[in-house]
Amino acid sequence: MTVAEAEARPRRTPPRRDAATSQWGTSGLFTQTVALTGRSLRPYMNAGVIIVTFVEPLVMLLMFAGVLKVLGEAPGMSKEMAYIDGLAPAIMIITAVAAGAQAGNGLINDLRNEVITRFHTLPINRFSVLLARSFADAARSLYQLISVAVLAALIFGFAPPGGILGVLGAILMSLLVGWSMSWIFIMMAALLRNGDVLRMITTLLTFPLLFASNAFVPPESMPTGLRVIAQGNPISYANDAVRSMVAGNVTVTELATTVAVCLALVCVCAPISKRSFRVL
Amino acid sequence: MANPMIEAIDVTKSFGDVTALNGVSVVVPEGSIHGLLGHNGAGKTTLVHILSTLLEPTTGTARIGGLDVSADAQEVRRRIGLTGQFASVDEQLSGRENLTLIARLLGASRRQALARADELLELFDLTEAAKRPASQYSGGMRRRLDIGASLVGSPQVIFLDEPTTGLDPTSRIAVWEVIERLAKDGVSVLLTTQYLEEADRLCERITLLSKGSVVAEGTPAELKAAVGQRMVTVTLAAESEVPAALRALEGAGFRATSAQDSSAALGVPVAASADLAAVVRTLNEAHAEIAELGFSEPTLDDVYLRLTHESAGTPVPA
Ligand SMILES: Nc1ncnc2c1ncn2[C@@H]1O[C@H](COP(=O)(O)OP(=O)(O)O)[C@@H](O)[C@H]1O
Ligand SMILES: [Mg+2]
Repeated sequence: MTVAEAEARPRRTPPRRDAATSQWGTSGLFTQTVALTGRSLRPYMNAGVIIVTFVEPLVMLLMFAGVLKVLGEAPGMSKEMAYIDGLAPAIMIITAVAAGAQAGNGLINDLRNEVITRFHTLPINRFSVLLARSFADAARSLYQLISVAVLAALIFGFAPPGGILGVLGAILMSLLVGWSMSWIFIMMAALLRNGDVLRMITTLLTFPLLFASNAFVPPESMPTGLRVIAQGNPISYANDAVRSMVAGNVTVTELATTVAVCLALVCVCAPISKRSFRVL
Repeated sequence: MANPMIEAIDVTKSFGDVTALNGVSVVVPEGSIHGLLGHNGAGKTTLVHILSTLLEPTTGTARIGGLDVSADAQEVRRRIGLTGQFASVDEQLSGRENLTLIARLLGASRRQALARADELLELFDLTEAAKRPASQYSGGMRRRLDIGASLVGSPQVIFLDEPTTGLDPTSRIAVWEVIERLAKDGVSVLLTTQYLEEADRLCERITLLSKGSVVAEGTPAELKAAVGQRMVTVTLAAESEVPAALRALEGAGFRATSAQDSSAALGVPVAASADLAAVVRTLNEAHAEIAELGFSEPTLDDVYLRLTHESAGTPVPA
Protein backbone atom coordinates (compact mmCIF):
# COMPACT_ATOMS: atom_id res chain seq x y z
CA MET A 1 0.00 0.00 0.00
CA THR A 2 1.09 3.55 -0.37
CA VAL A 3 1.07 6.05 2.41
CA ALA A 4 -1.34 8.24 0.48
CA GLU A 5 -3.80 5.36 0.21
CA ALA A 6 -3.45 4.66 3.88
CA GLU A 7 -4.05 8.32 4.66
CA ALA A 8 -7.09 8.59 2.41
CA ARG A 9 -8.83 5.68 4.07
CA PRO A 10 -11.04 6.56 7.01
CA ARG A 11 -9.46 5.11 10.11
CA ARG A 12 -11.36 2.80 12.38
CA THR A 13 -9.92 2.43 15.77
CA PRO A 14 -9.92 -0.92 17.50
CA PRO A 15 -12.56 -1.16 20.23
CA ARG A 16 -11.37 -1.14 23.81
CA ARG A 17 -10.58 -4.36 25.53
CA ASP A 18 -13.26 -4.11 28.21
CA ALA A 19 -15.91 -3.94 25.53
CA ALA A 20 -14.36 -6.87 23.70
CA THR A 21 -14.19 -9.14 26.70
CA SER A 22 -17.72 -8.51 27.85
CA GLN A 23 -18.89 -8.97 24.29
CA TRP A 24 -16.90 -12.12 23.66
CA GLY A 25 -17.00 -13.75 27.04
CA THR A 26 -14.26 -16.25 27.74
CA SER A 27 -13.13 -19.39 25.96
CA GLY A 28 -12.52 -22.65 27.74
CA LEU A 29 -10.06 -25.44 27.23
CA PHE A 30 -12.44 -27.14 24.78
CA THR A 31 -12.86 -24.17 22.43
CA GLN A 32 -9.15 -23.41 22.58
CA THR A 33 -8.20 -27.00 21.83
CA VAL A 34 -10.59 -27.19 18.88
CA ALA A 35 -9.25 -23.93 17.41
CA LEU A 36 -5.64 -24.98 17.87
CA THR A 37 -6.20 -28.51 16.52
CA GLY A 38 -7.49 -26.95 13.32
CA ARG A 39 -4.28 -24.94 13.13
CA SER A 40 -2.05 -27.94 13.79
CA LEU A 41 -3.88 -29.97 11.14
CA ARG A 42 -3.33 -27.33 8.50
CA PRO A 43 0.10 -28.53 7.33
CA TYR A 44 -1.42 -31.97 6.72
CA MET A 45 -4.23 -30.53 4.61
CA ASN A 46 -2.50 -30.34 1.31
CA ALA A 47 -2.85 -32.68 -1.64
CA GLY A 48 0.77 -33.81 -1.60
CA VAL A 49 0.81 -34.63 2.10
CA ILE A 50 -2.58 -36.36 1.89
CA ILE A 51 -1.36 -38.63 -0.90
CA VAL A 52 1.98 -39.43 0.76
CA THR A 53 0.21 -40.08 4.05
CA PHE A 54 -2.00 -42.57 2.22
CA VAL A 55 0.86 -44.24 0.36
CA GLU A 56 3.02 -44.72 3.48
CA PRO A 57 0.89 -47.59 4.84
CA LEU A 58 0.67 -49.05 1.32
CA VAL A 59 4.45 -49.26 1.02
CA MET A 60 4.69 -50.76 4.48
CA LEU A 61 2.02 -53.37 3.72
CA LEU A 62 3.63 -54.46 0.46
CA MET A 63 7.14 -54.46 1.91
CA PHE A 64 6.33 -56.47 5.03
CA ALA A 65 4.04 -58.82 3.11
CA GLY A 66 6.97 -59.63 0.81
CA VAL A 67 9.57 -60.02 3.56
CA LEU A 68 7.31 -62.04 5.83
CA LYS A 69 6.32 -64.36 3.00
CA VAL A 70 9.97 -65.31 2.59
CA LEU A 71 10.48 -65.58 6.36
CA GLY A 72 7.32 -67.61 6.69
CA GLU A 73 8.96 -70.32 4.58
CA ALA A 74 12.02 -70.38 6.83
CA PRO A 75 12.14 -73.08 9.50
CA GLY A 76 10.91 -72.11 12.94
CA MET A 77 8.64 -69.33 11.70
CA SER A 78 4.98 -69.59 12.27
CA LYS A 79 3.07 -69.67 9.01
CA GLU A 80 0.31 -67.39 10.31
CA MET A 81 2.68 -64.40 10.30
CA ALA A 82 2.55 -64.35 6.55
CA TYR A 83 -1.18 -64.01 6.56
CA ILE A 84 -2.80 -60.65 6.32
CA ASP A 85 -4.79 -61.20 9.53
CA GLY A 86 -1.51 -61.23 11.42
CA LEU A 87 0.20 -58.58 9.34
CA ALA A 88 -2.47 -55.85 9.19
CA PRO A 89 -2.65 -55.38 13.00
CA ALA A 90 1.15 -55.11 13.18
CA ILE A 91 1.15 -52.44 10.46
CA MET A 92 -1.62 -50.62 12.29
CA ILE A 93 0.42 -50.48 15.49
CA ILE A 94 3.56 -49.33 13.63
CA THR A 95 1.58 -46.64 11.85
CA ALA A 96 -0.04 -45.36 15.01
CA VAL A 97 3.22 -45.27 16.98
CA ALA A 98 5.02 -43.49 14.13
CA ALA A 99 2.26 -40.87 14.01
CA GLY A 100 2.56 -40.47 17.77
CA ALA A 101 6.31 -39.91 17.48
CA GLN A 102 5.57 -37.24 14.88
CA ALA A 103 3.79 -35.17 17.56
CA GLY A 104 7.14 -34.48 19.23
CA ASN A 105 8.59 -33.17 16.00
CA GLY A 106 5.48 -31.09 15.44
CA LEU A 107 5.89 -29.41 18.81
CA ILE A 108 9.56 -28.65 18.14
CA ASN A 109 8.60 -27.07 14.81
CA ASP A 110 5.98 -25.00 16.58
CA LEU A 111 8.52 -23.77 19.12
CA ARG A 112 10.85 -22.67 16.34
CA ASN A 113 7.94 -20.97 14.63
CA GLU A 114 7.42 -18.11 17.13
CA VAL A 115 3.64 -18.52 16.83
CA ILE A 116 3.66 -20.37 20.11
CA THR A 117 5.35 -17.34 21.67
CA ARG A 118 2.23 -15.33 20.91
CA PHE A 119 0.00 -18.06 22.35
CA HIS A 120 1.98 -17.82 25.56
CA THR A 121 1.10 -14.13 25.89
CA LEU A 122 -2.63 -14.86 25.53
CA PRO A 123 -4.83 -15.53 28.56
CA ILE A 124 -5.47 -19.11 27.40
CA ASN A 125 -4.88 -22.47 29.01
CA ARG A 126 -1.46 -23.42 27.67
CA PHE A 127 -2.31 -27.09 27.92
CA SER A 128 -4.65 -26.58 24.95
CA VAL A 129 -1.59 -26.11 22.73
CA LEU A 130 -0.28 -29.56 23.71
CA LEU A 131 -3.69 -31.24 23.54
CA ALA A 132 -4.17 -29.80 20.07
CA ARG A 133 -0.79 -31.12 19.03
CA SER A 134 -1.68 -34.64 20.18
CA PHE A 135 -5.13 -34.55 18.57
CA ALA A 136 -3.85 -33.30 15.23
CA ASP A 137 -1.42 -36.18 15.00
CA ALA A 138 -4.11 -38.58 16.21
CA ALA A 139 -6.31 -37.38 13.36
CA ARG A 140 -3.51 -38.05 10.90
CA SER A 141 -3.01 -41.45 12.49
CA LEU A 142 -6.73 -42.26 12.13
CA TYR A 143 -6.59 -41.44 8.43
CA GLN A 144 -3.60 -43.76 7.99
CA LEU A 145 -5.19 -46.56 10.01
CA ILE A 146 -8.26 -46.44 7.80
CA SER A 147 -5.92 -46.53 4.79
CA VAL A 148 -4.25 -49.68 6.15
CA ALA A 149 -7.59 -51.43 6.58
CA VAL A 150 -8.89 -50.38 3.16
CA LEU A 151 -5.66 -51.22 1.32
CA ALA A 152 -5.34 -54.55 3.14
CA ALA A 153 -8.88 -55.39 2.13
CA LEU A 154 -8.38 -54.32 -1.50
CA ILE A 155 -4.95 -55.85 -2.10
CA PHE A 156 -4.86 -58.85 0.23
CA GLY A 157 -8.53 -59.51 0.70
CA PHE A 158 -8.30 -58.66 4.41
CA ALA A 159 -11.65 -59.91 5.79
CA PRO A 160 -10.89 -61.20 9.30
CA PRO A 161 -13.19 -63.28 11.52
CA GLY A 162 -13.82 -60.24 13.70
CA GLY A 163 -15.65 -58.60 10.81
CA ILE A 164 -16.16 -54.89 10.32
CA LEU A 165 -16.60 -54.36 14.05
CA GLY A 166 -13.35 -56.14 14.75
CA VAL A 167 -11.50 -53.98 12.24
CA LEU A 168 -13.06 -50.81 13.64
CA GLY A 169 -12.09 -51.94 17.12
CA ALA A 170 -8.55 -52.60 15.93
CA ILE A 171 -8.36 -49.13 14.39
CA LEU A 172 -9.61 -47.46 17.57
CA MET A 173 -7.32 -49.48 19.78
CA SER A 174 -4.27 -48.67 17.62
CA LEU A 175 -5.35 -45.04 17.66
CA LEU A 176 -5.48 -45.06 21.45
CA VAL A 177 -2.07 -46.71 21.69
CA GLY A 178 -0.53 -44.19 19.25
CA TRP A 179 -2.19 -41.21 20.91
CA SER A 180 -1.10 -42.19 24.39
CA MET A 181 2.43 -42.81 23.13
CA SER A 182 2.43 -39.40 21.46
CA TRP A 183 2.51 -37.95 24.99
CA ILE A 184 5.92 -39.55 25.57
CA PHE A 185 7.22 -37.64 22.57
CA ILE A 186 5.40 -34.41 23.42
CA MET A 187 6.85 -34.64 26.91
CA MET A 188 10.35 -35.16 25.55
CA ALA A 189 9.94 -32.28 23.09
CA ALA A 190 8.79 -29.99 25.91
CA LEU A 191 11.69 -31.07 28.11
CA LEU A 192 14.47 -31.17 25.51
CA ARG A 193 13.36 -28.37 23.17
CA ASN A 194 15.95 -29.62 20.70
CA GLY A 195 14.89 -31.26 17.44
CA ASP A 196 18.13 -33.14 16.77
CA VAL A 197 18.30 -34.76 20.17
CA LEU A 198 14.61 -35.55 20.04
CA ARG A 199 14.90 -37.28 16.66
CA MET A 200 17.80 -39.40 17.91
CA ILE A 201 15.92 -40.47 21.02
CA THR A 202 12.80 -41.11 18.95
CA THR A 203 14.67 -43.51 16.69
CA LEU A 204 16.42 -45.12 19.63
CA LEU A 205 13.08 -45.66 21.32
CA THR A 206 10.77 -46.62 18.46
CA PHE A 207 12.94 -49.19 16.69
CA PRO A 208 13.41 -51.54 19.64
CA LEU A 209 9.81 -50.97 20.73
CA LEU A 210 8.47 -51.95 17.32
CA PHE A 211 10.91 -54.66 16.27
CA ALA A 212 11.83 -56.24 19.58
CA SER A 213 8.18 -57.14 19.89
CA ASN A 214 5.90 -59.87 18.63
CA ALA A 215 4.67 -57.65 15.79
CA PHE A 216 6.55 -59.39 12.99
CA VAL A 217 8.49 -62.26 14.49
CA PRO A 218 7.15 -64.70 17.09
CA PRO A 219 9.25 -64.30 20.27
CA GLU A 220 9.60 -68.09 20.53
CA SER A 221 11.96 -67.97 17.55
CA MET A 222 14.13 -65.22 19.10
CA PRO A 223 17.37 -65.67 21.11
CA THR A 224 16.73 -65.67 24.88
CA GLY A 225 17.73 -62.06 25.62
CA LEU A 226 15.64 -60.63 22.85
CA ARG A 227 12.77 -62.94 23.70
CA VAL A 228 12.60 -61.63 27.27
CA ILE A 229 12.50 -58.08 25.95
CA ALA A 230 9.89 -58.89 23.31
CA GLN A 231 7.68 -60.61 25.85
CA GLY A 232 7.86 -57.68 28.24
CA ASN A 233 7.47 -55.06 25.51
CA PRO A 234 4.21 -53.13 25.88
CA ILE A 235 3.94 -53.04 22.09
CA SER A 236 3.64 -56.83 22.13
CA TYR A 237 0.63 -56.55 24.41
CA ALA A 238 -0.90 -53.83 22.27
CA ASN A 239 -0.28 -55.95 19.19
CA ASP A 240 -1.88 -59.00 20.83
CA ALA A 241 -4.90 -56.93 21.75
CA VAL A 242 -5.29 -55.57 18.22
CA ARG A 243 -4.89 -59.08 16.77
CA SER A 244 -7.56 -60.40 19.09
CA MET A 245 -9.82 -57.58 17.95
CA VAL A 246 -9.32 -58.55 14.35
CA ALA A 247 -9.79 -62.21 15.18
CA GLY A 248 -12.99 -61.39 17.00
CA ASN A 249 -11.90 -63.02 20.27
CA VAL A 250 -10.79 -60.08 22.38
CA THR A 251 -11.35 -60.54 26.11
CA VAL A 252 -12.59 -57.88 28.49
CA THR A 253 -9.36 -58.20 30.49
CA GLU A 254 -7.26 -57.63 27.39
CA LEU A 255 -9.32 -54.60 26.43
CA ALA A 256 -9.35 -53.14 29.93
CA THR A 257 -5.62 -53.69 30.41
CA THR A 258 -4.72 -51.95 27.15
CA VAL A 259 -6.97 -48.99 27.85
CA ALA A 260 -5.72 -48.72 31.44
CA VAL A 261 -2.05 -48.80 30.44
CA CYS A 262 -2.64 -46.19 27.73
CA LEU A 263 -4.48 -43.86 30.09
CA ALA A 264 -1.84 -44.34 32.78
CA LEU A 265 0.82 -43.30 30.26
CA VAL A 266 -1.09 -40.12 29.46
CA CYS A 267 -1.67 -39.41 33.14
CA VAL A 268 2.08 -39.51 33.76
CA CYS A 269 3.36 -37.73 30.63
CA ALA A 270 0.72 -35.04 30.11
CA PRO A 271 1.21 -33.24 33.46
CA ILE A 272 4.99 -33.32 33.04
CA SER A 273 4.60 -31.91 29.53
CA LYS A 274 2.30 -29.20 30.79
CA ARG A 275 4.66 -28.19 33.56
CA SER A 276 7.77 -28.07 31.40
CA PHE A 277 6.13 -26.42 28.39
CA ARG A 278 7.54 -22.92 27.95
CA VAL A 279 8.75 -20.93 25.00
CA LEU A 280 11.85 -19.16 26.30
CA MET B 1 1.93 11.55 35.98
CA ALA B 2 -1.09 9.64 34.68
CA ASN B 3 -1.68 6.10 35.93
CA PRO B 4 1.43 4.01 35.40
CA MET B 5 0.44 1.15 33.06
CA ILE B 6 3.82 -0.47 32.57
CA GLU B 7 6.25 -0.60 35.47
CA ALA B 8 9.62 -2.29 35.70
CA ILE B 9 11.22 -1.60 39.04
CA ASP B 10 14.89 -2.44 39.49
CA VAL B 11 14.58 -5.50 37.28
CA THR B 12 17.55 -7.84 36.98
CA LYS B 13 17.74 -10.83 34.71
CA SER B 14 20.63 -13.29 34.49
CA PHE B 15 21.03 -16.20 32.11
CA GLY B 16 23.72 -18.22 33.83
CA ASP B 17 26.82 -16.02 33.68
CA VAL B 18 25.24 -13.46 31.38
CA THR B 19 23.57 -10.52 33.07
CA ALA B 20 21.08 -9.35 30.47
CA LEU B 21 19.43 -6.73 32.71
CA ASN B 22 21.11 -5.07 35.65
CA GLY B 23 18.62 -3.11 37.76
CA VAL B 24 16.47 -1.57 35.05
CA SER B 25 13.52 0.66 35.90
CA VAL B 26 11.02 1.89 33.34
CA VAL B 27 7.62 3.45 33.99
CA VAL B 28 5.13 4.13 31.21
CA PRO B 29 1.96 6.13 31.96
CA GLU B 30 -1.37 5.25 30.35
CA GLY B 31 -1.69 6.21 26.70
CA SER B 32 1.97 7.02 26.31
CA ILE B 33 4.54 5.70 23.85
CA HIS B 34 7.78 4.87 25.58
CA GLY B 35 10.93 4.04 23.66
CA LEU B 36 13.51 1.49 24.70
CA LEU B 37 16.58 2.43 22.75
CA GLY B 38 19.76 0.43 22.63
CA HIS B 39 22.21 -1.49 20.49
CA ASN B 40 22.04 -5.22 19.86
CA GLY B 41 22.32 -7.17 23.10
CA ALA B 42 21.45 -4.17 25.29
CA GLY B 43 18.64 -6.15 26.92
CA LYS B 44 15.59 -4.67 25.17
CA THR B 45 14.02 -7.99 24.20
CA THR B 46 14.69 -9.49 27.61
CA LEU B 47 12.83 -6.63 29.32
CA VAL B 48 9.91 -6.97 26.89
CA HIS B 49 9.77 -10.71 27.54
CA ILE B 50 9.67 -10.13 31.30
CA LEU B 51 6.92 -7.53 30.99
CA SER B 52 4.89 -9.80 28.69
CA THR B 53 5.03 -12.74 31.16
CA LEU B 54 7.31 -14.91 29.01
CA LEU B 55 10.26 -14.69 31.39
CA GLU B 56 10.45 -14.25 35.15
CA PRO B 57 12.77 -11.52 36.41
CA THR B 58 15.69 -12.79 38.52
CA THR B 59 15.11 -9.92 40.95
CA GLY B 60 12.94 -6.82 40.91
CA THR B 61 9.30 -6.21 40.14
CA ALA B 62 7.39 -5.91 36.90
CA ARG B 63 3.76 -4.79 36.82
CA ILE B 64 1.15 -4.17 34.16
CA GLY B 65 -1.74 -1.98 35.26
CA GLY B 66 -0.65 -2.55 38.83
CA LEU B 67 -0.71 -6.36 38.43
CA ASP B 68 2.45 -8.35 39.06
CA VAL B 69 3.60 -10.23 35.96
CA SER B 70 4.59 -13.31 37.96
CA ALA B 71 1.82 -13.49 40.53
CA ASP B 72 -1.02 -12.36 38.23
CA ALA B 73 0.36 -13.59 34.91
CA GLN B 74 -2.99 -14.67 33.48
CA GLU B 75 -4.65 -11.34 34.38
CA VAL B 76 -1.70 -9.49 32.87
CA ARG B 77 -2.14 -11.51 29.65
CA ARG B 78 -5.70 -10.19 29.38
CA ARG B 79 -4.28 -6.68 29.14
CA ILE B 80 -1.30 -7.03 26.85
CA GLY B 81 -0.42 -7.65 23.23
CA LEU B 82 3.07 -8.58 22.08
CA THR B 83 4.58 -8.09 18.66
CA GLY B 84 7.88 -9.86 19.08
CA GLN B 85 11.15 -9.16 17.36
CA PHE B 86 10.52 -12.04 14.95
CA ALA B 87 7.15 -12.18 13.23
CA SER B 88 4.94 -14.69 15.00
CA VAL B 89 2.33 -15.34 12.36
CA ASP B 90 1.43 -18.82 11.19
CA GLU B 91 2.77 -19.04 7.65
CA GLN B 92 0.42 -21.84 6.67
CA LEU B 93 -2.67 -19.87 7.61
CA SER B 94 -4.06 -16.97 5.63
CA GLY B 95 -4.00 -13.48 7.09
CA ARG B 96 -7.66 -13.75 8.02
CA GLU B 97 -7.23 -17.19 9.58
CA ASN B 98 -4.32 -15.96 11.68
CA LEU B 99 -6.55 -13.27 13.16
CA THR B 100 -9.70 -15.38 13.58
CA LEU B 101 -7.66 -18.04 15.35
CA ILE B 102 -6.55 -15.55 18.00
CA ALA B 103 -10.08 -14.17 18.33
CA ARG B 104 -11.47 -17.70 18.79
CA LEU B 105 -8.85 -18.40 21.42
CA LEU B 106 -9.99 -15.26 23.22
CA GLY B 107 -13.58 -16.46 23.29
CA ALA B 108 -15.13 -14.86 20.21
CA SER B 109 -17.78 -16.79 18.32
CA ARG B 110 -17.07 -17.67 14.70
CA ARG B 111 -19.01 -14.60 13.53
CA GLN B 112 -17.42 -12.24 16.03
CA ALA B 113 -13.99 -13.59 15.15
CA LEU B 114 -14.54 -12.98 11.45
CA ALA B 115 -15.84 -9.47 12.10
CA ARG B 116 -12.84 -8.61 14.26
CA ALA B 117 -10.43 -10.09 11.72
CA ASP B 118 -11.94 -8.12 8.86
CA GLU B 119 -11.84 -4.95 10.92
CA LEU B 120 -8.12 -5.40 11.58
CA LEU B 121 -7.36 -6.44 8.00
CA GLU B 122 -9.01 -3.24 6.85
CA LEU B 123 -7.11 -1.20 9.42
CA PHE B 124 -3.80 -2.65 8.26
CA ASP B 125 -4.57 -2.53 4.57
CA LEU B 126 -4.50 -6.30 4.19
CA THR B 127 -8.06 -6.85 2.99
CA GLU B 128 -6.96 -7.79 -0.50
CA ALA B 129 -4.42 -10.28 0.81
CA ALA B 130 -6.80 -11.65 3.46
CA LYS B 131 -7.16 -15.08 1.88
CA ARG B 132 -3.55 -15.61 0.89
CA PRO B 133 -1.32 -17.71 3.14
CA ALA B 134 0.97 -15.51 5.23
CA SER B 135 3.96 -17.29 3.70
CA GLN B 136 3.29 -15.27 0.55
CA TYR B 137 3.28 -11.92 2.36
CA SER B 138 6.06 -9.38 1.99
CA GLY B 139 8.07 -8.37 5.06
CA GLY B 140 5.97 -5.27 5.59
CA MET B 141 2.65 -7.11 5.20
CA ARG B 142 3.77 -9.82 7.61
CA ARG B 143 4.77 -7.19 10.14
CA ARG B 144 1.42 -5.45 9.85
CA LEU B 145 -0.40 -8.77 10.23
CA ASP B 146 1.77 -9.50 13.24
CA ILE B 147 0.88 -6.19 14.87
CA GLY B 148 -2.75 -6.80 13.94
CA ALA B 149 -2.63 -10.19 15.65
CA SER B 150 -1.38 -8.57 18.85
CA LEU B 151 -4.37 -6.16 18.75
CA VAL B 152 -7.13 -8.77 18.32
CA GLY B 153 -8.16 -8.61 21.98
CA SER B 154 -7.91 -4.78 22.03
CA PRO B 155 -5.24 -4.80 24.74
CA GLN B 156 -4.52 -1.80 26.94
CA VAL B 157 -0.79 -2.35 26.66
CA ILE B 158 1.19 -3.17 23.54
CA PHE B 159 4.80 -4.27 23.33
CA LEU B 160 6.50 -3.77 20.00
CA ASP B 161 9.96 -5.24 19.75
CA GLU B 162 11.82 -3.57 16.88
CA PRO B 163 8.62 -3.30 14.85
CA THR B 164 10.22 -1.65 11.84
CA THR B 165 13.56 -3.42 11.64
CA GLY B 166 14.06 -4.64 8.10
CA LEU B 167 11.11 -2.73 6.64
CA ASP B 168 11.23 -0.46 3.62
CA PRO B 169 10.58 3.26 4.30
CA THR B 170 6.97 3.15 3.14
CA SER B 171 6.07 0.21 5.37
CA ARG B 172 7.96 1.84 8.21
CA ILE B 173 5.86 4.99 8.00
CA ALA B 174 2.68 2.91 7.80
CA VAL B 175 3.70 1.10 11.01
CA TRP B 176 4.52 4.42 12.70
CA GLU B 177 1.05 5.72 11.90
CA VAL B 178 -0.53 2.62 13.40
CA ILE B 179 1.49 3.07 16.58
CA GLU B 180 0.58 6.74 16.88
CA ARG B 181 -3.09 5.91 16.44
CA LEU B 182 -2.92 3.29 19.18
CA ALA B 183 -1.52 5.77 21.67
CA LYS B 184 -4.19 8.29 20.70
CA ASP B 185 -6.79 5.63 21.57
CA GLY B 186 -5.31 5.36 25.05
CA VAL B 187 -3.19 2.26 24.55
CA SER B 188 0.14 2.33 26.35
CA VAL B 189 3.00 1.36 24.08
CA LEU B 190 6.47 0.13 24.93
CA LEU B 191 8.53 0.17 21.78
CA THR B 192 12.06 -1.05 21.33
CA THR B 193 14.18 0.25 18.53
CA GLN B 194 17.70 0.72 17.29
CA TYR B 195 16.57 3.69 15.20
CA LEU B 196 17.05 7.10 16.81
CA GLU B 197 14.80 8.70 14.25
CA GLU B 198 12.00 6.32 15.20
CA ALA B 199 12.33 6.97 18.94
CA ASP B 200 12.55 10.72 18.30
CA ARG B 201 9.41 10.74 16.18
CA LEU B 202 7.19 8.39 18.17
CA CYS B 203 8.18 8.40 21.79
CA GLU B 204 7.15 10.73 24.56
CA ARG B 205 9.95 9.43 26.67
CA ILE B 206 12.98 7.32 25.97
CA THR B 207 15.00 4.95 28.09
CA LEU B 208 18.45 4.37 26.76
CA LEU B 209 19.80 0.92 27.56
CA SER B 210 23.38 -0.17 27.28
CA LYS B 211 24.66 -3.57 28.36
CA GLY B 212 21.66 -4.19 30.56
CA SER B 213 21.71 -0.85 32.38
CA VAL B 214 19.79 2.38 31.94
CA VAL B 215 22.22 5.07 30.85
CA ALA B 216 19.69 7.84 30.28
CA GLU B 217 15.99 8.52 30.59
CA GLY B 218 13.88 11.46 29.53
CA THR B 219 12.02 13.14 26.70
CA PRO B 220 13.88 13.27 23.41
CA ALA B 221 14.35 17.01 23.97
CA GLU B 222 15.69 16.55 27.50
CA LEU B 223 18.19 13.98 26.37
CA LYS B 224 19.42 16.24 23.62
CA ALA B 225 19.68 19.22 25.95
CA ALA B 226 21.52 17.20 28.57
CA VAL B 227 24.19 15.83 26.34
CA GLY B 228 24.07 17.15 22.84
CA GLN B 229 25.81 20.42 21.99
CA ARG B 230 24.64 23.23 19.81
CA MET B 231 27.60 24.01 17.65
CA VAL B 232 28.59 26.87 15.37
CA THR B 233 30.84 25.60 12.62
CA VAL B 234 33.01 28.12 10.86
CA THR B 235 35.34 27.68 7.91
CA LEU B 236 37.74 30.57 7.51
CA ALA B 237 38.93 31.88 4.17
CA ALA B 238 42.60 31.30 5.03
CA GLU B 239 44.33 28.78 7.26
CA SER B 240 46.71 31.42 8.53
CA GLU B 241 43.84 33.24 10.27
CA VAL B 242 43.03 30.27 12.53
CA PRO B 243 45.36 31.02 15.51
CA ALA B 244 44.19 34.65 15.76
CA ALA B 245 40.55 33.61 15.45
CA LEU B 246 40.92 31.01 18.20
CA ARG B 247 42.55 33.59 20.49
CA ALA B 248 39.79 36.12 19.82
CA LEU B 249 37.04 33.57 20.49
CA GLU B 250 38.73 32.50 23.70
CA GLY B 251 38.88 36.12 24.74
CA ALA B 252 35.15 36.38 24.15
CA GLY B 253 34.53 33.34 26.37
CA PHE B 254 34.06 30.61 23.76
CA ARG B 255 35.86 27.27 23.90
CA ALA B 256 36.53 26.93 20.20
CA THR B 257 38.49 24.08 18.67
CA SER B 258 40.05 23.72 15.26
CA ALA B 259 39.34 20.61 13.29
CA GLN B 260 42.22 18.21 12.75
CA ASP B 261 41.48 17.23 9.17
CA SER B 262 40.54 20.56 7.59
CA SER B 263 42.68 23.16 9.29
CA ALA B 264 40.65 26.22 8.27
CA ALA B 265 37.55 24.84 10.05
CA LEU B 266 36.56 25.76 13.61
CA GLY B 267 33.96 24.31 15.92
CA VAL B 268 32.44 26.62 18.55
CA PRO B 269 30.14 25.05 21.14
CA VAL B 270 27.42 27.54 22.14
CA ALA B 271 24.60 27.53 24.64
CA ALA B 272 21.90 29.15 22.49
CA SER B 273 21.34 30.11 18.88
CA ALA B 274 21.65 33.78 19.95
CA ASP B 275 25.36 33.15 20.51
CA LEU B 276 25.76 32.76 16.76
CA ALA B 277 25.77 36.54 16.34
CA ALA B 278 28.42 36.95 19.05
CA VAL B 279 30.68 34.40 17.33
CA VAL B 280 30.35 36.23 14.00
CA ARG B 281 30.99 39.62 15.62
CA THR B 282 34.09 38.34 17.45
CA LEU B 283 35.52 36.95 14.22
CA ASN B 284 34.80 40.18 12.35
CA GLU B 285 36.56 42.20 15.01
CA ALA B 286 39.57 39.84 14.70
CA HIS B 287 39.51 40.41 10.94
CA ALA B 288 39.08 36.70 10.26
CA GLU B 289 37.19 36.28 7.01
CA ILE B 290 34.38 33.69 7.16
CA ALA B 291 34.07 31.45 4.09
CA GLU B 292 31.36 29.17 5.46
CA LEU B 293 29.10 29.35 8.48
CA GLY B 294 26.94 26.61 9.91
CA PHE B 295 24.83 25.85 12.98
CA SER B 296 24.02 22.35 14.13
CA GLU B 297 21.38 21.23 16.63
CA PRO B 298 22.20 18.16 18.71
CA THR B 299 20.72 14.93 17.45
CA LEU B 300 19.71 11.83 19.26
CA ASP B 301 22.77 10.28 17.66
CA ASP B 302 24.95 12.53 19.81
CA VAL B 303 23.08 11.42 22.91
CA TYR B 304 23.36 7.81 21.96
CA LEU B 305 27.01 7.88 21.05
CA ARG B 306 28.10 9.91 24.03
CA LEU B 307 26.17 8.04 26.70
CA THR B 308 26.81 4.53 25.47
CA HIS B 309 30.51 5.32 25.12
CA GLU B 310 30.63 6.80 28.59
CA SER B 311 29.04 3.72 30.11
CA ALA B 312 31.43 1.51 28.18
CA GLY B 313 34.36 3.54 29.53
CA THR B 314 35.74 4.43 26.12
CA PRO B 315 36.45 8.04 25.17
CA VAL B 316 33.75 9.93 23.36
CA PRO B 317 34.71 10.94 19.85
CA ALA B 318 34.77 14.74 19.61
N1 LIG C 1 18.04 -17.21 26.69
C1 LIG C 1 19.21 -16.60 26.83
N2 LIG C 1 20.29 -17.25 27.28
C2 LIG C 1 21.48 -16.65 27.44
N3 LIG C 1 21.71 -15.36 27.15
C3 LIG C 1 20.68 -14.64 26.68
C4 LIG C 1 19.39 -15.21 26.49
N4 LIG C 1 18.56 -14.24 26.02
C5 LIG C 1 19.31 -13.14 25.92
N5 LIG C 1 20.58 -13.37 26.32
C6 LIG C 1 21.67 -12.38 26.38
O1 LIG C 1 21.20 -11.25 27.06
C7 LIG C 1 21.68 -10.06 26.46
C8 LIG C 1 20.51 -9.17 26.07
O2 LIG C 1 19.82 -9.75 24.99
P1 LIG C 1 18.52 -9.10 24.36
O3 LIG C 1 17.56 -8.79 25.44
O4 LIG C 1 18.04 -10.02 23.29
O5 LIG C 1 19.09 -7.76 23.72
P2 LIG C 1 18.45 -6.80 22.60
O6 LIG C 1 17.04 -7.20 22.39
O7 LIG C 1 18.60 -5.42 23.17
O8 LIG C 1 19.27 -6.98 21.37
C9 LIG C 1 22.54 -10.49 25.30
O9 LIG C 1 23.86 -10.49 25.73
C10 LIG C 1 22.06 -11.88 25.01
O10 LIG C 1 23.09 -12.64 24.44
MG1 LIG D 1 16.09 -7.76 20.68
